[in-house]
Amino acid sequence: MTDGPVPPARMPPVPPYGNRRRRPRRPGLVSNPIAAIAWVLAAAALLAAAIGPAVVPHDPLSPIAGLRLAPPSWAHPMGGDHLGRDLLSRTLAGARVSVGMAIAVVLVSAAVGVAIGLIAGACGGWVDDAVMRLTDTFFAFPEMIAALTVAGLLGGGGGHMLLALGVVGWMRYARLVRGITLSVREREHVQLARLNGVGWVGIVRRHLLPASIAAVIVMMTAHLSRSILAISGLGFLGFGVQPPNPEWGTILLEGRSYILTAWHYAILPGLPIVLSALAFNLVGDSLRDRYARTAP
Amino acid sequence: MLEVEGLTVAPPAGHDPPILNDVSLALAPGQVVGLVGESGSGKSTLARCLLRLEAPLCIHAGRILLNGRDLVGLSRGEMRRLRGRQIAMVQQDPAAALDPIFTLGSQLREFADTHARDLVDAPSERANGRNGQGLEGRIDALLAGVGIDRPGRRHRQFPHQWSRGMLQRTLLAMAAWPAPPLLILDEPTASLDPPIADRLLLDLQQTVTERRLAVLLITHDLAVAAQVCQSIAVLYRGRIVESGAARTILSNPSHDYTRALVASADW
Repeated sequence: MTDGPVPPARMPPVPPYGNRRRRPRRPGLVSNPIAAIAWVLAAAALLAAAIGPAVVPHDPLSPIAGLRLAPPSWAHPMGGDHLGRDLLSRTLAGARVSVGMAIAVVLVSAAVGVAIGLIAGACGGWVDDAVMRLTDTFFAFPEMIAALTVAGLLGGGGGHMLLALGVVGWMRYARLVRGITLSVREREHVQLARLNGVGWVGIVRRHLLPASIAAVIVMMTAHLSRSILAISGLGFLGFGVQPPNPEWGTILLEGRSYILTAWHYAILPGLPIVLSALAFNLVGDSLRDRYARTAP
Repeated sequence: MLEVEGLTVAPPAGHDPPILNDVSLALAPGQVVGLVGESGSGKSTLARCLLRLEAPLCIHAGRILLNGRDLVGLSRGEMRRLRGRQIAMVQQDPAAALDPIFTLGSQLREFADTHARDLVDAPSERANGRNGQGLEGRIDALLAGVGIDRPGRRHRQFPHQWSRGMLQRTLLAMAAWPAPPLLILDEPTASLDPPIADRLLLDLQQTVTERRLAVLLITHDLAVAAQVCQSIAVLYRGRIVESGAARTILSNPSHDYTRALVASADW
């Protein structure tokens, strides 16, 4: 190497880029029978919440003569309660509260938690420290006891229950989104966006939030099943929707006294709680397998 | 055009020796200057300083003059408006430079929207005859200009479905699209196969000629520097130990480090 720049090597012309192989198919959403059953049950729960009160066979609030504590029959598949009301109708109508309220709790918690997580992760520094210590503080309270305290201080009722469960529900989202944000914001494509003059708002909107969405949705389904349990739990302890309005946990509370004389009253209304919680959990698993396993 | 004068960069508390020590550099339009040095010599730090993304380091002394304007004194907002429009950069790994969860079409459109007022179609793209069909047509022309066939179909694909060579050539074309006076390339060929790297350098030479950009080409590969650079600056432990015409430096290196570099280069 003595005299000046080396001329570019003579290379054969590179052909224009051709078609590349298609992406391999990812495993289907409903890849096993258990997941399929879970999706059906979850869809049924959502459907019941959406149209349940409209399709009840009987009025869930008015007693029917002779139905007091009656066991299941063809006309009344879930039997009657202690006032002679049709339990199937009460359970269907209760889905609006139990499932609908759980969805509201999840949406509120996710919105608050994602916003807080994005702020903490995107700002970093002392903002991150302050916000995450606040999150740790909220985490320190046992979820159910904190919800009971808030609901107990404010009294029962739907809005108060939503507030109580929202207060204890947002922290997991904040932690999750902050973690994803911290790793994604150091990636080169985000750095390149900064090099191109994109501000923090644009980076959060275009890169950090979309990168978190898959994981957040999976967490929302798992949270949905926990919220159904929590709402039923609050109802069972008397802090939920007040009688005579039907709600799954409240129905169980009423049936508890008759467990030795009318088994169906304490058992059958508990099934939708168990099944829907299980179903949303499994749906979350199948979503995670499909989308979040390789999520950034 | 770009003049760096006595730039000294170190952590806020100071560091001895500084990461960049009294670095001076000048670039003129249409000129490709090679910044050569080993890993850790401060090449990428210098590039980040030019974009004022030096945090967590601090600029302790020196000036960065872009068309007579000192970038060191600019506010964050003013600096943000310069990035991409006045100073653009292409990074080493094209696969990491794009968001993996969006299609290339959407990312190209976003880039074009961000810089819509500044985009300048190159003669080679206008020659494709698809200009004047709005942004989509211009994006297609840009892709066609770097040898990507059937751009319409390509829009729906994700970064992992493209080869690195395609991505890097596209990124270079994107960076040059708003015709920034200064273009910084940080090891643009390091992750490419030799024939593809060669083609990228041909793209670069064409772009520089067409648009009269000043290009700072960071590389540790002397062969790359020899191929496209008019002048070369050698960075060693944060100091420019030698700079001048490429031919002179490569044929007659004066500093010990440069001599070792030239001797060890794999032509």
